[in-house]
Formats: sequence, C-alpha cells, structure tokens
Amino acid sequence: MDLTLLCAGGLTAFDATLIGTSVVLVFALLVVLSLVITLEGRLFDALNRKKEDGAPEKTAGSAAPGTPPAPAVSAVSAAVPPAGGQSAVADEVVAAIAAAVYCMEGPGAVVRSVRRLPQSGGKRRGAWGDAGVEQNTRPFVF
Amino acid sequence: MGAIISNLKEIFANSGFAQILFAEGGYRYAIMLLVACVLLYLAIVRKYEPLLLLPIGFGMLLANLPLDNIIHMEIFINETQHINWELLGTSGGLADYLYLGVKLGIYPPLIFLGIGTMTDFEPLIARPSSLLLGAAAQVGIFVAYAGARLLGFTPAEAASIGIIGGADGPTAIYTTTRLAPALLGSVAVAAYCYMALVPVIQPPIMRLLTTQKEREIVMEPPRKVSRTEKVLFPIIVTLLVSLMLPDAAILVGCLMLGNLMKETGVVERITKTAGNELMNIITIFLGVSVGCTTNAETFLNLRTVMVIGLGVVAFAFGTAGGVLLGKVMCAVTHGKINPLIGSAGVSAVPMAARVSQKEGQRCNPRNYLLMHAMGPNVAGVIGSAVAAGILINMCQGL
Repeated sequence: MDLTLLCAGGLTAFDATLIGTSVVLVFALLVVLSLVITLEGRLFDALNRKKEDGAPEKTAGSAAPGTPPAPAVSAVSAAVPPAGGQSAVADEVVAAIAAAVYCMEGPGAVVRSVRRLPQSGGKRRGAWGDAGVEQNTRPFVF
Repeated sequence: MGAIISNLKEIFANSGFAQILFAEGGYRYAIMLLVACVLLYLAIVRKYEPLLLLPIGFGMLLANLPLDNIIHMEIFINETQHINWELLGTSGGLADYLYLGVKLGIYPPLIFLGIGTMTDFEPLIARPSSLLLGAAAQVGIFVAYAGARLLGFTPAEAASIGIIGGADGPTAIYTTTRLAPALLGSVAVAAYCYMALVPVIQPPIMRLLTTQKEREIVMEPPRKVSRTEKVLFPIIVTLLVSLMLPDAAILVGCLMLGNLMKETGVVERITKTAGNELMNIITIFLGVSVGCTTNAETFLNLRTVMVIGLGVVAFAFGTAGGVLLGKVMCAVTHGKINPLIGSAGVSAVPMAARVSQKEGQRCNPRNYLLMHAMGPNVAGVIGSAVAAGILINMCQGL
C-alpha cells in the first residue's frame, strides 16, 4: 500500500488509486449491464415482431368462421344502458374500465357489458370488504 | 423516618437524574436526550423517513438513559474486532441480541429482499442507459471519501462516511458495520436524515446546473417490456455483479431475489411476506438497535459533526454528478433526455424521482418525468450496492 502523501491533510496515492479504480469499476460494470440489457431488449423486440407478423396471417384465415375481435370501446358503447337511468354507469367509468382491460389483455379483448351490481340490503362490507375477507380466509395450499 | 429518607436519598443517588445533574460529564446525556427528541419530532411531526427515524430516535433515547445499560457495545467493538460471545451470554440483553443482526450483516440484505419485492425495474429495462445515470450519481460517494481522508479519517472510516452519498440506508449500514462499526450511529442518522431532506438538497443544484430549455424537455415514452425480460433481469444482474464483486453479492442478490419473486408471480404469498411482515419486523429491529449504539461517548464529538457535514457534501455531489451526465446524454441524443432525471440516480427511492418530476413540472406543467426518473432511481440502488462492494473489498482492515 503506497502511502505517499499527495497533499497536506492525509490524501495519499492509495486514495487516488482507490477512487480511480472504484469509479472505473462502477461505470464499467453498469455499462456492461446496460449493454446486456439493451441486447436482450433488441432480441425480444425482434422475437415479438416475428410473432406479430405471423399472427395476422392466422387471424386472416380464421376471420370468416370465428367472431373477429371488435374495438373494445365501440362494443362497450353498444352494450351500456343509456345515460340518465338509475343503474347507468358513467361514461368516464366505462372508459377507465375499458382502458384497464386493454392494458391487461391487449387489443384482442372486448368489453361487452358494464353494469352496476345491486347492493343487497343485508351486506355491511360491500364489494371491497368481501374481497378482503375472501383473500384472508383463503385456505393454505403448499 | 430517618431510614426512609436515607433509603430515598440512596435511590436518588443511584438514579439517572443524579447522573445527569451531578456526575461529571452528565450534561452529555441531557444533550443526547435532546437530540433524540429532535429526531422523534422530525419523524412524527415533519414525517421525515418515520419508518427508520422513529425507532432510531427512540433507540437513541433508551441508550442515553444513564445507568440503564441497555446495550453493551464492548461486546461488539473491542481490540479483537470479534464478538465477545462469552460476555454476550453473561450480560447481553434485548438490544445486544437485536444488534447481532446488524453486526453479522443480516438485517440489511433482508431489507433489500423486501425492497426488491416493491421495486419495478421496468423503466430501467426499457431504457438501459439509465444505469449510467445511476453510476454517475455515485460520484458523491468518492468525493465524500476524499473529503473524509483530508479530515484525517482512516480509509475504512472514510469509505463508511462516503457511502452516505449512495442514499441507501441498508447499504450504508452494511458497509459501516463491515468497515467502521464505531461510526454506525452517526452514519445511520446522517444517511436517513439526508434521505428525507432530498427534496430540500437537490432542487437548487438541479436548477444551477440546467437551463430552462433543458428542464422543459419532454421525453418519449419508453418501449414496452415483456414479462420474460422482467424475469431475466434480476438473474442477469445477480450473475454479472456477484461474479465481479463477491462482496456485493449478498446485497444485490437479496434485492434481485425479492424482485424475481415479485416478477414471476408464482410465489405471491412469500412475496407479500417479504415486502410486508418481514420487512416491518427487520425495520423495527434495525432501527432500535442502531439507535441504541448512539450513546453520548460515541456520538457527541467533533467526528460526528464532520460525518454529518460530509454527508451533505456526498448528496450534493451525487446530485451534481447525475445531472451533469444527464446533460451529456441530452447533448449526445440531441435533446431526447431531460437532464433532470440524472439527479434521480441518487438512490433515495422514490423521493429523488419525485423531485425530478416536480422540477420538470415547474417548467412545463404537462411534463411527466416520474416514470423516466424511476429508471435512474432504481439504477442508483444497484450502483450504490456495487460501490459498497468495491469499498468493502479495498478498505477492509485499513
């Protein structure tokens, strides 16, 4: 360990070496990591592009017999009861639910109906409370 | 009657009040109790990192009650640098046994396990260049190291002080425990206080180093990341970092294990435990035991003041390093990167990313930088763990 003083106050050649080595190593390691992740990302993008190129050929072949996926919003707007009724769901809520379904399931999903469930008189907890109870009382399975 | 009064006098003479009021140096306990109350005020009223500052503050309060012998630091810090198991067995109490988790380096990796279950690396995977910003923000560690050496600290102590700049509590505690356990109390208090003060420390530096035009830059949305990439990421990081730096393996490995558990989605129950119950338990144990190490003898001295001063230097230079590299990346990409996200490389997750978001919105109310800043923010966690591994490797025993 070279303890030659570089300046008054205690900074030595060892300190300069340590700082230089550490900065170089931190950057080098993270640069290598970012290159690996970039390459991985490009590989997966290429694979996904191949899958998407192959998918339209299959859906074009099955469009006639099967039910083609319709845009989610137009399907929902046809199914939702007209605004103004007591059980009607607000347009913004419908849009938010459709967007959430799109995010989870992708462009192939169709929301056909959104309706408000009637609240039964005896329930205290409500839907969220029921979900919480069900989750906490679910039996263990190893 | 005389006997009763005599007994009362004896009890009072042996009480903590007598130690504070009449014993030599007793005023130092009073000062430490005041400092503990300040930390509790910051945690409870101002809500500065309450999850850690409250148990640390209360641990400090307990440790500075005279004659209570809550913790026996001579078990852990002695000439041999090993735990005195015999003394632990004969006179160890709750705080001593809780402190074992700190001394043996158990708590910080378990906290990282919980942090991993709560971290989303998607912004980082979508934009891997964020790792460079995370690296640049670790510059503060080495600037503080140099400053500490200039002030006369040993290399091991200087490394423990420098790691405050990583803005990562578990990493700072793990590194200090391995390199300079005597400084643990002051390093932990400095680290968590400054992490809470990130919204105060960073904005002036960010404004000083960037132009209005740069702050207004709106970044393109990052690419979509598949589940497979998110599952492979923790495995790749663990392999790369741990093979290069075995000293960082336990920290990075636990962080990535927690993240892998979360991303696979096949171990939901233990993921919830790691991120909730386990982390809460370890946080209590860690906070109380670290607080108990901050007694008057070890805390009330000039070295603690220097540690606290160097801590803010570390944070400031870390912020500057990240922002400056952000400016370079902005120039190289012809204005696609907003330099403000560079400051988020200081790994106070998610506070530093929120500061970038807020500063960006000051200049352009429609600019949403939060998810872009999360990339460097979580990269900083990896960067600080890597820096800690290097410092432990090079400074142990010095």
